[in-house]
Amino acid sequence: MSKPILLLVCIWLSGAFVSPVGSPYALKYPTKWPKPTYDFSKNPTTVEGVALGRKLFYDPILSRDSSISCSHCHLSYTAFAHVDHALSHGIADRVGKRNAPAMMNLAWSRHFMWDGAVNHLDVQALAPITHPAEMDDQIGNVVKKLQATPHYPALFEAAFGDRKITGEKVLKSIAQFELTLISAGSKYDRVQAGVDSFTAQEKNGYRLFQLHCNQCHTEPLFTNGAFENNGLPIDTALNDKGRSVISQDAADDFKFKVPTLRNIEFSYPYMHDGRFKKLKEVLRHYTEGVQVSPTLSGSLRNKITLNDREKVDLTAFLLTLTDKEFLFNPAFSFPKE
Amino acid sequence: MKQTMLCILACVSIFQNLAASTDSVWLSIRLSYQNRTVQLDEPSDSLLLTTARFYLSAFEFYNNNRLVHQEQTYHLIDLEQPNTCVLKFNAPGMKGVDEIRFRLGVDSLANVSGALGGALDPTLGMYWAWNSGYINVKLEGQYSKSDARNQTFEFHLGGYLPPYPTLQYIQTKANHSGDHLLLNLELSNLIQQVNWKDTHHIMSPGAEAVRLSVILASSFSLSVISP
Ligand code: HEC
Ligand code: HEC
Repeated sequence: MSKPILLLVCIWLSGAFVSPVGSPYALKYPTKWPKPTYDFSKNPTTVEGVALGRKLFYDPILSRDSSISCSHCHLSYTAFAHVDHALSHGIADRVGKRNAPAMMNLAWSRHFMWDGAVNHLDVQALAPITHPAEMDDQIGNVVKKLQATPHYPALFEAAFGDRKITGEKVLKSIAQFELTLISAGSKYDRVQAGVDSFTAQEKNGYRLFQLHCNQCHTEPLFTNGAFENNGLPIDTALNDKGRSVISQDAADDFKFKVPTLRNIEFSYPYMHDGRFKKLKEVLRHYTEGVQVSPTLSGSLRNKITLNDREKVDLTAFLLTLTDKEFLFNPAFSFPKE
Repeated sequence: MKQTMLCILACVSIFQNLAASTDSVWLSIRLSYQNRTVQLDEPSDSLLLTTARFYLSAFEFYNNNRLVHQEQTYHLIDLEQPNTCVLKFNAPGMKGVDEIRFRLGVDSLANVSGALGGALDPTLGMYWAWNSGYINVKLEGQYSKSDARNQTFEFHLGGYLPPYPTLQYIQTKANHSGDHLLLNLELSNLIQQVNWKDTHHIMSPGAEAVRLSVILASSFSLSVISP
């Protein structure tokens, strides 16, 4: 008698939460990497949830006039960055304030956006959906539009066991897709795994990288996840103060989230406002352009000197972070039914 | 088959048991201004309220200083929707309450836990998309002394990060105990203490959001509707 009661109570309680149904989708990453920071227990990835999230990511239904999707600004072939546009533009070509960053290894991120305005991957998609310069719709409206389509309710049922669409489910499925965007197949990774080796040039570049860059662009994710001021001259037209807008602390003025350098070959233009088109310009900034200010990071207070040959070597190393498997992974591109 | 029968039987008996041993306390929520009930879109004196939505959470119920029930739940009170202004709490043996403790707003853990559902679903318009976190309190309307165009005001109070956390802990006691209580939020103090020259619109976390949240927290009172 006691067994069925237990069972019942369990079923009864589980009805109170969004619980995934469907088959588990296991994420693969190198064993040497740290543990992801994302709490998968609250949103376990499933094959159905990821497929739904991918469909939403590529569907302009998320915008007010159904004109742009997430992929409008985040293209898979360019590590999900917005190439050719320094400042990403969205609906009605209103110019945004910032460059769309590359998207990968998000399960290891603690903060999102250049200033860390978003504190969790799940809620990140709310920002573009409600930002007037981006997709310009409200999540409540998006939920209504999705519920009214012939195909989405069944996809939500497959992922979450229920045809009723909610904001929580929309956000969690998009997050599931984003969590699968793992880049760990570059030449650098193969060298780490002992199945490939650097050229002499790359090796010297790696040495220079560890000397000058690794404090912030820390291996193996190539970011320490922190906010730093890397000494960029202030663009007075935008006057973007970065992290301090969120923390309301002047000690954070002009600090931005350290971006990963994985797939850096493809995620140009560079920096939060897309001011540099080429890695050459980036290196020139670090050797000649660093502006001293009260919040400049300690590790850039001593001038970095690199001769021309060293710059070439360092660039050669940065190119070993290109992951073609990631960039051309058919599982990440537009879903063809 | 036998199992299913057992299940159904068990189910019925659980519900019967629950029904027999569960007692309820009702909490009606009211907003007042100068001690008169405020209704949305109906001017009272110099104040017109067009939106009033706020989160109440983590209720604890006391009788004679004894904790009789507590719940880790979130309630979005919306004056636009009368059904959200009456809360019913069920618990076995909960009879007669003379004091409640609760929070005005959403705790910091929920603020950093990603997408949540129910009363915390981001579709409910109480979530800041561009600076993650819940809006604990939304009060919008018009006030004769507001220097804004059309004398409008908008107070979106929220923020969980130090140094400006807005979550408020509230403790309020009635004269005697009852099963149906009235929780009143009196707006006079708030209206009096706003700096109408330049802070008629608060849309992000900060010192002013904290100051107004503290004032609101001290403006709740509890009384008994029926013993
Ligand atoms: C109009 C262009 C545009 C569209 C459309 C857009 N984004 Fe973005 N995205 C950006 C920009 C710009 C940023 C950086 C904003 C900032 O830092 O303030 C960004 C940042 C992000 C980030 C943070 C990455 C990080 O590491 O911090 C994620 C994740 C993201 N977008 C996902 C999405 C999703 C999901 C959608 C669709 C719901 C979407 N984006 C739609 C331009 C866009
Ligand atoms: C003190 C920390 C720090 C150090 C040291 C540092 N960086 Fe950066 N790097 C940053 C920050 C912060 C940004 C983003 C700045 C912004 O956009 O405002 C950045 C941006 C970049 C970008 C642009 C990435 C993108 O996606 O837009 C590249 C490329 C880069 N750094 C390369 C390097 C190299 C190469 C070195 C070593 C010579 C180096 N960095 C040293 C903090 C650092």
